[in-house]
Amino acid sequence: MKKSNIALLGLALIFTAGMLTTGFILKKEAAKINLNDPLRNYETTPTAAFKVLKISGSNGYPIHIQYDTGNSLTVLRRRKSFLKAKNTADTLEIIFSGANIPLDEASKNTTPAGIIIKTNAVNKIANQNTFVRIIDFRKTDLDLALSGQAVATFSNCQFPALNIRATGQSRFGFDGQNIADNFNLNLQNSTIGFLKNIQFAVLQHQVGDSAAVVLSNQVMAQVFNQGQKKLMQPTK
Amino acid sequence: MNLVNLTLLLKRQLKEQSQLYLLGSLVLFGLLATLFLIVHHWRDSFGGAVQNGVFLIGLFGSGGIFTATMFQEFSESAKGIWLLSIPATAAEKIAAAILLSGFAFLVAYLGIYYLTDGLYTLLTYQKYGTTPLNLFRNGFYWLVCAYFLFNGIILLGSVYFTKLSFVKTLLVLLLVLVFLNYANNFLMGIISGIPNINSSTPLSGFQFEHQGENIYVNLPENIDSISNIFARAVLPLIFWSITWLRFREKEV
Repeated sequence: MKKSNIALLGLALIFTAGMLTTGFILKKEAAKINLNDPLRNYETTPTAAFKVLKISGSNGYPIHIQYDTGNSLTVLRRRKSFLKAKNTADTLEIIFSGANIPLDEASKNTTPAGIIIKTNAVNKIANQNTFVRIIDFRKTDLDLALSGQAVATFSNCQFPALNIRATGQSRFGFDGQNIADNFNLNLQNSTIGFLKNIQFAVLQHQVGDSAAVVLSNQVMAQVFNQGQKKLMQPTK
Repeated sequence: MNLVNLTLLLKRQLKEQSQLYLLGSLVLFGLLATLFLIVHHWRDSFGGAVQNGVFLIGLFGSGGIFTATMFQEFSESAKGIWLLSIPATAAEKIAAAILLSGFAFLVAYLGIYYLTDGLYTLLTYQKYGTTPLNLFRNGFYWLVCAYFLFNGIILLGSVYFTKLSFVKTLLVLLLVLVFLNYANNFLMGIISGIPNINSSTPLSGFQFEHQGENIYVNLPENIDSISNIFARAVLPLIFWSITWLRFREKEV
């Protein structure tokens, strides 16, 4: 037999031995996974408490920010190498890079969360280019700054005061039932705010020429009611 | 190995083929520009890392064709004998082919790609915020390293097959990959005892379905690094060495 054929055969044997060895290592790794854990594909690390959260990166995987009793960072194990997190003073800075999907598709993204951030103290979130879902915030004020192609969705939140400043091409919307007693909007550039599933007592707004606000029937009624109340107030 | 011989071999190749390489570079630029045009025009259908995709298609497509031309003389017996009779050792001829099709091609490709990507970024930055491809983001350079493995396989194919070596090598590669996929799934299922493995990568990991969700099982980080180094650095060396062995057998 020619030497080159013997070498190819040797390579095939080495490869098969490698596959067998990795098979036994993977068997051990598989045994470590708790199949009853809903976060079985994730890895959690506790983080120090933070008040400011800065997120940048890409929108391929949604990032969940959930109000909770503790502070932790849970990342999809397959995307662990895509995450960079830095804790300084009261700020947690996160860069979660990866693929980008078209902006119009981002909010419809059904991909499981890439990161789940649990926090009990955050009151300021700055999001650049990523897609975040803000979930279950209760009785806490929040400043949200969106820039670039950032997308934010609120789910079942209650805020005494919610301030949103959007720039670039960023977008935001609401799911479930949301309440903001004082709702301050500042929309600039080509931003879009989808006001649906949100109740507010007071709405203050600054909307630039190229920005757009899309209102649901219910929100439009709230806006008109608020406008009428103002008209009925005695003027000096 | 004699460095003078190696330099002379490289000079000969460049002198004889310079016109073809220049035209090829222009065609590559045109093809990459067309690919960018397609992914931009139908951007809603091409979500995700389109620049990475264009980079890889261009690299493996053009790199494969270019590598296959290194020993094209073997397709005709007269030219093959002429190539073998060039006064240089098999190792020098193989080294020249690797330097040209592996390393020099990669440098030239990076230049042409970034020229096209730069134009794409320039035209789309304002509206879509596009930035140039970063090879070092999220370990993408590992895939670039995989080009050397591909280069080794195509070079080996070009000395193994005489006629239509590129097509035959791709066909064999495809068959091996399909076989490896099924064989590895089967092997992982037998070893782990998990019945519903739906995907696996040899020497890396597998996924199985549990209550409608895919569960991922990967190698521990340190072993995964060793596996990556083996696949992207050691395997190309092995393929280049087997190419050298085969070339020497042709000389005999």
